[in-house]
Amino acid sequence: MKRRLLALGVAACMLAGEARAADHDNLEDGQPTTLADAYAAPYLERQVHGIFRYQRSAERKHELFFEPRFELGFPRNAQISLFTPVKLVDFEKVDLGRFGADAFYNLNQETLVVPAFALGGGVEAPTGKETHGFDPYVQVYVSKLLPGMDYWNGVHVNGRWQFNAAKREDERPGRYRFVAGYAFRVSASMIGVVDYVREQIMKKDVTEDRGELGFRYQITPLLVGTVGGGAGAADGRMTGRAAVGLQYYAF
Amino acid sequence: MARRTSCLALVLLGGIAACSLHLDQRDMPAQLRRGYNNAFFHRHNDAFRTSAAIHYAHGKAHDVLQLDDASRTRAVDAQTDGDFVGVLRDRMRMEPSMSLFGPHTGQGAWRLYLAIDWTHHHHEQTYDILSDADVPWAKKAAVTRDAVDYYLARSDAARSPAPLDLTMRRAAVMMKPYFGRFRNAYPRTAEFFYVAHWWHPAIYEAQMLAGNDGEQEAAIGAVQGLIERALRERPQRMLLSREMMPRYSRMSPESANIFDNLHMLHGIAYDIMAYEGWSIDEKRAELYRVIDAMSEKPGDRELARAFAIPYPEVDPRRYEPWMTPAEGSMSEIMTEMMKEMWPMMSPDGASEPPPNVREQMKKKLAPGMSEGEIEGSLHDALMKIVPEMKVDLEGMKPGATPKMAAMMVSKWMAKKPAPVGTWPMEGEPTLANIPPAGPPLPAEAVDGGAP
Repeated sequence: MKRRLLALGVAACMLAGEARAADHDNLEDGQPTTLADAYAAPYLERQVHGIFRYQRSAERKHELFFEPRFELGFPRNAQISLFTPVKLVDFEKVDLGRFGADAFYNLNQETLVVPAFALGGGVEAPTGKETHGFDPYVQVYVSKLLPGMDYWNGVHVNGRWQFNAAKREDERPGRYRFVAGYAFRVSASMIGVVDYVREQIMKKDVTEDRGELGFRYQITPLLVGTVGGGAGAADGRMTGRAAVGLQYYAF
Repeated sequence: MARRTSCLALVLLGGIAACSLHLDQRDMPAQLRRGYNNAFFHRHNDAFRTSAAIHYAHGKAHDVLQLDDASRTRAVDAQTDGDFVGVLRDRMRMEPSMSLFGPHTGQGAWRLYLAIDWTHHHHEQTYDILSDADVPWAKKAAVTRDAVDYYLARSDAARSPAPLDLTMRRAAVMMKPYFGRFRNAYPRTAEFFYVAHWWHPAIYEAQMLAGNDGEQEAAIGAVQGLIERALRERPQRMLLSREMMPRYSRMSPESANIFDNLHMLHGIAYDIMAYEGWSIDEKRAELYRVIDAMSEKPGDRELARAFAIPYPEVDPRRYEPWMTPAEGSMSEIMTEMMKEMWPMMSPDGASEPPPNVREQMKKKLAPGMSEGEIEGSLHDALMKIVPEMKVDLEGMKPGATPKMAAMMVSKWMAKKPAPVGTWPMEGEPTLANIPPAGPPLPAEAVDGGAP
């Protein structure tokens, strides 16, 4: 199994070439926390991400995912992402998760008083064993640095509504996710992120609340490393997650 | 009903915000992807860290000047210089974007940071090209041209490839009320950036002297070894590419001019941020005017070689006496501009500025306040000694281009120097062939061809 995990990591690395990063301050969903900012990747930038994520769900299941992700800055001020989490079931079997595609458009650069806004949407496809239906979603992003100081720190809010296209009896017709957080500069190479997430899960009447903390660190000019985790509760049970990832600025 | 009212209020608020507030788009392009990316980081990491520390200082200075109390400039100047020198000595591991250490100004005038960050990318890219031994020496010029093409094509915030002589005339900032504010009030910080603008071209020229082989490490190491001396005996002016990196300027005049235009934008932006007479909205209007004036215009590339080279034999491994005075190519450009403007400003139509005007201007071009220098901008100083001077009040306002800009551009176009020759890149250079330092060659021995 170790070999398989290693192969997945190496595959992600092989996709990356020589490039430059320098936007470790650009927050990405899942790298390492759920919080994202309203800014897209630079025009025609190609990024390859590889994220290992451990999750303890409300059903007390321990799950490990590897999520490769490709991002493209296209068109200007917009970003397109393709991703598919691979579930490493019981650390032995591999199950393809839900392939997803999403995009968002950044409406404006923030000013001293007006935040940056972005609107986006996406869809998750039923590519995994336990998945069904194409579930589209719409999303809004708001970002604002705190003005009046030379310290880089700001607040971000994300809201998502996802439709459940092939609803089963015990499922919701749709669900929301709300994220509010704060990002701050630790050094020229590192930023920190802390957020609160309130997320309805597919199963009726279950909502998860969790807090997360993470760091984004520029390892080399072409490589950003991320590490983070969080804990919360859903349906009266404790939940938790941890993520470690790499982000390359590719070919 | 309440819901409908809330929606209406939101729409109204959005409309008011959109109408009354200036909104930019981020518009950042991706850096050009080539095999040489990050060669400078890997091969000359100490110099990479020096560059990162300089760019930290550039970002932070905007917010220091905009946010700090103008009544305590002396203390702020000393403190800021101390901070920047400390970071320069410690180096900085990674290159920060402008916003990371100057976030306030980025929110107030985003296009300034777009122009700077995009050109810093070009800086790194061109260092990478010279650092990467896998790019054959004979192909360095063509590969640099490819990077210049990409830089100019991908963003309208790119700096012009035309010489500073032309772009400064287009910007026409000398009679603006902020001109000289940064140099006068924050002399040590201004000098710190003069050190930075000595260092950048010195590194390019060290690479040009050394070639692709291991001599590059030795040449760059020698420049790194001069940093402490440069901090002790700081240049009193912004050294131009044509002065510090004549060989690189001949290989890629477009790239060399882009850096001069960026470094000048830094200086103008600091003047504007340090000026207390305007609101942030007015400062943004003026910054955006200058950014546009100093961006590429049709025909700029054809003019890229229109400059003379005063020190063709410069060896960047030496810190020469001519590198430190306030007088140099930059002050020559300013003095010429003043001569061109004076007939339109002079109360008696004199064709030449009188000695007291020339003297005040000379003092205003040097950091700090010297004996006999009149407080305020150059315009304030000239009004004190020539009260009847004709003033373009409209042209002094934020965002307005002075009437004299077009006249100065046409005068320069009429007298511009003959194009400087190309630099031979066929054979890889070696440090053993560098002639000993000597006096500057006469212009006729320099222009018109490589030695």
